[in-house]
Amino acid sequence: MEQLRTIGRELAMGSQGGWGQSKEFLDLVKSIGEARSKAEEDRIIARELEHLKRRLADPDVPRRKMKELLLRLVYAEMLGHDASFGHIHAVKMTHDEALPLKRTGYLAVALFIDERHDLVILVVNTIQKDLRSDNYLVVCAALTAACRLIGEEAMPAVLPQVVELLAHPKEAVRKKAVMALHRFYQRSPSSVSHLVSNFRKRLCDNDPGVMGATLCPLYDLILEDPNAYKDLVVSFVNILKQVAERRLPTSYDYHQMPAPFIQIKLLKILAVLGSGDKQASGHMYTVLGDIFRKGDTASNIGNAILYECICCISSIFPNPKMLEAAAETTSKFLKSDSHNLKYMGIDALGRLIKINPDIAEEHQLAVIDCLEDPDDTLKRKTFELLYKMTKSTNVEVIVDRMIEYMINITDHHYKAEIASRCVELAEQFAPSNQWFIQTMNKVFEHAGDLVNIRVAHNLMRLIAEGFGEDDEGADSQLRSSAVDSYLRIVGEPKLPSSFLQIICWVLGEYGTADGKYSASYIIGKLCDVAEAHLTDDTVKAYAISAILKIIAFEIARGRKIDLLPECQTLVDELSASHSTDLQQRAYELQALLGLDKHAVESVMPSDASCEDIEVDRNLSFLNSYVQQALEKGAAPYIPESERSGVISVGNYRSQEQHETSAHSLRFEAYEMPKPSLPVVTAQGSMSMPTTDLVPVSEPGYYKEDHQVSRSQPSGDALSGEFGVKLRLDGVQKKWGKPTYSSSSTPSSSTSSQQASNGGSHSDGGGSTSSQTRESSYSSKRQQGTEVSAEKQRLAASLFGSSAAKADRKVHASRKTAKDNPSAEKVAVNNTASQPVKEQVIPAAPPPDLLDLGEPVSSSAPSADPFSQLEGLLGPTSASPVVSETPASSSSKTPDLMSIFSDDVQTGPNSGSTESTLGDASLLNSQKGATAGAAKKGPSLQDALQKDATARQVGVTPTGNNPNLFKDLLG
Amino acid sequence: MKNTPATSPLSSHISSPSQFGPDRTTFHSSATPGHRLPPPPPPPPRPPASLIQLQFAGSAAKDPRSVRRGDLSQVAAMINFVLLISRQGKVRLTKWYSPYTQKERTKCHLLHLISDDISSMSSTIIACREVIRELSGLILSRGPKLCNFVEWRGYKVVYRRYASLYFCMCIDADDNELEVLEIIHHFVEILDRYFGSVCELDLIFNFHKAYYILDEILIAGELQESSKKNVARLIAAQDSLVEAAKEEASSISNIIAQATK
Repeated sequence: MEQLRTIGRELAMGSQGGWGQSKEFLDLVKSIGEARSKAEEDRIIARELEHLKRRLADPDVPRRKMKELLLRLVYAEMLGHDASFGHIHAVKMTHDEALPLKRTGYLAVALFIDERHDLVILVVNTIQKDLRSDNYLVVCAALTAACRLIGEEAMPAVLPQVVELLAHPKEAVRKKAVMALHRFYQRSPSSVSHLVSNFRKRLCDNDPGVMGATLCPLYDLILEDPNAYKDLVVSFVNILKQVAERRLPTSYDYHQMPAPFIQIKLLKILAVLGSGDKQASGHMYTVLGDIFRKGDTASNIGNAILYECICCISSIFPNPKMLEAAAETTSKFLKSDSHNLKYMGIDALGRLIKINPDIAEEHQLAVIDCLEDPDDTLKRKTFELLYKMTKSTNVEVIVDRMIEYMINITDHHYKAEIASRCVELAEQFAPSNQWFIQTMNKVFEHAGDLVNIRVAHNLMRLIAEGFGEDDEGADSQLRSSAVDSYLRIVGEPKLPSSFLQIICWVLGEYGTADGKYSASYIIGKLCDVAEAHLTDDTVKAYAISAILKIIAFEIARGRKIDLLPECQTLVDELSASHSTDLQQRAYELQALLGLDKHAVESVMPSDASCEDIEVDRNLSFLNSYVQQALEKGAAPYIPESERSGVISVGNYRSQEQHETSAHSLRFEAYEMPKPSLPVVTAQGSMSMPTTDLVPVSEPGYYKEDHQVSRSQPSGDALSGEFGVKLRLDGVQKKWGKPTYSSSSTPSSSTSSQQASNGGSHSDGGGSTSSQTRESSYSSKRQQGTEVSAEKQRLAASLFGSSAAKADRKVHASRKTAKDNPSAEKVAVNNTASQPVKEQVIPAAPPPDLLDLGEPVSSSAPSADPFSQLEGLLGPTSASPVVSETPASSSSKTPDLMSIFSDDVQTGPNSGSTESTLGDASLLNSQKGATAGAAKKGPSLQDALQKDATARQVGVTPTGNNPNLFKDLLG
Repeated sequence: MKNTPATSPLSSHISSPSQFGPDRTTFHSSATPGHRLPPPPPPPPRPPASLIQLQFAGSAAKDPRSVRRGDLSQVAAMINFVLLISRQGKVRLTKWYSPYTQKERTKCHLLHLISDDISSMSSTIIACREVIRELSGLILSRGPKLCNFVEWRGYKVVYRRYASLYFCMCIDADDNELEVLEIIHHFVEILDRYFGSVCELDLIFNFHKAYYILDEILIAGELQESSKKNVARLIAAQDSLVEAAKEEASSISNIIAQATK
């Protein structure tokens, strides 16, 4: 039979040139099929295009022949060749009267061009005409083309007709009209917004196809504004019920499932409508239960519906029975052999743990299996799940895994994503400073150019500020360990630019702080960095600034400093650099060398990077000067806004800049120039970055102003300023605003320069270095004797309560892995029905069960959180567990201790923060940050203290990254 | 590995819905002799997929932790493009749906990922080629038992293999992958019904008909019709018109021919 069919086909092809195609086309396809290489294929197509160009230019080509030429053109373009010369012929063909030709014309036009193309204007008229046609097939063809070709400008031309067609007697036309209107809505909501009521009407269409099509636009509309469609909940539920009960014609059945695609769309809609709405969700439970019961896990499409059901249940107001059903289905997915189902199961699990983190517990081994699966897709999905369930207890394992994976992939897009996730998790949950810095080093080493520069600034600030504790010793220990690690790393080739910037900054700031390394050693290293990165001005700038700082510190300590010869050549080279920024830094360094000890101390105070810079926004220190000037007869200052008839230059310029940066034409009329802010406040707003990240460029004079006020707090500020100005005269910038270098900041280069430089460097994966690291890393990991045992240990460290557990011996961990779920189940079962019900009230969600290794802590929530806090503030400062000892040490402490620490940790968690933030913390990273900050149990008390002192001083942390600050300050 | 002739039915095992993914698409080559096209040569060595030097630093801004559904910026076409490629990496059909979010129009265009300037058509074509090359490298290299989904530049590509042909659809990251897998199958079943045991050759020579059918199933990236019968009816109506036109044309030419005699 099969043979006969093939033979028949070949006969047909031989006799009349294939399936209605000419011999030429057949030959073309054949030769393409025979082409041995892409180059040969390209040659054939190029020849064909030449041929087509000649033929199409011929005015006498018969219309039917023209159709075939057009199809050959489509074929050529499909293979990736430019056939734009023929587009106009496709447009012409749409004008044809005969439907087959018209249809071909529309097909070709829709494939060739889209609504931004110039030729569209020639098609609009035809579409307009065809929409009025008596022949519904013509109308259909026109509607299909309209979806692709009608942009915002052409929309008014066809809109009335499309709306009219919504009531066309043919259901196919109605359906396409709905889709076209939907497309118009997507393109330009404002021009269709008055017509959206039509979609509601079409929902009641007799034809299920039209009804199904209407669900697409309604879904979009509901996503936008769920509240406007709450009245439809009952209707949607009814429709879904009828569909599930097989009330639709059997032609909509698909693999014995009643209209599955419509069901899925309805479930998507219900998920949005029921989100956070108890009443609306109440209507849905019955039908969702029905669908679960009828669910067919044997077929693909049945699973698709079940998955959508889980999504719906995890989105709507939670119901214990529904969640149970969803969890059951999820576990079926996870236990399946099919990778697809496992993938869906992981995704579903990620949705369900937002509501009830306990669910993940019983699937730990399945998740670990997926994590170690050779299938990359599954692996990535599992990382996404882990990312969602990261807590302070398991962050080390998860981030280590992520980094390990990150090192091995080449996909830039995903590398950047996973790197930023690592950073985010590390910032949020870091158990210790050391760990944080080590993690950051790894991330920067391997994906430095892919992560945001902001992250680099954060890291520098963290090193500068320490963990926000009063314990100076720990901070300096951290710094010297950072210096150690950087001195080790700095010699490696191909480090990413942003990482080198960090290294330079840290070495400059703290390289000589602990006296372990001599100044000349560090300066030598920094010179090496600058020499090794000749093209990267930013790195060079960081390096020279670091050298400057070290020299300044040395001078301040009263030591004699001799410039190394290589350093001297570097300075000489940079002072002749094309970059004025580098030049300035070099000159500054030279100027600094000539200063005496006291001057250097006030210009470059040591370890001043985290001093808060207080900005006198009113410039009050200038008052006396202004007064003097006024007395001498100078004209008083009038704010720009109050001046009349004067073009405000600043405003004009800023507008100009804005326009050039936008790089696009503006069609709307120019707006009236806005009154600009008074200069004082404008400068005040400029000073905002100073409270920001440490190394961002700061306007020099603020810095100086600050230094002045510090060095001479009571004296005459004015004269003090002059004094400094005179001394640093040679360092003044040659162009631009008359500012002075802010010498204590490592970088005064403009941020734009930084951005461009940071991006320009190709990413240095540092493959060699990564391999060595990795191998040592993996060898450490392979200590586990059995694979399954290791898996279980991993599972315990991921899902279990504390990192300490992961470090136990294998047999012990196996025991805990097995015991944990069951033991917890007992504990949970008592409260199982309660927590799920309690989720109803957002104020009191269940305690965070994933977090609780020990059942002891479940008693904590009952206590009054405030009294606990008070208790913490008082005596516990003596407790070693609470104070921020690095977690590495805590993980090595005996079990008893870890249990104790766990108890303390989790107690206030579930009592205070979790109860207010609850699961919402997982939904929103911003919120998660606050939760994460509070979740770091040990620092709670310190955080409160810190906060109190911060308030006393009157400093409120602001800046680009509230997360870290909150972490530090609470 | 045997070469797969293009005449093999794509869906000789279509009617086994309980089976899954790539398993079903194992090819029974013994049933199909005498193919007209010579077995295509082994795929030419292609450069690795990551050719384009792009900065992705900004793309990490999207916070995946936020609620996926209900995120307004996610309003876009469901299916971004449909791609049919043979096992040798030859393109059999492409259909690009331009997805737009409501706010950032141009930025969200898929092809912007590849090329900044898609205003001119030739650069669009280059971008398309690049997408196809990247994806075929990604998909054709995957083993048989793996997921039918691939993450690609923040999108997801759902693919399914039928005999020697891969059907791929690119969707947004938060769509229901299984559903899209079944949309592909839905498409194949309709093709099968239309051509009568469809094979790759059918699609090569009648790619325009495949386009017509696709247009009846998907419009602007959304599934518009889930009833096979309705699609078949519409396509038949259009075809009968073509037939009628053909007869008309031939009769007219007959008349002319006779008149000129």
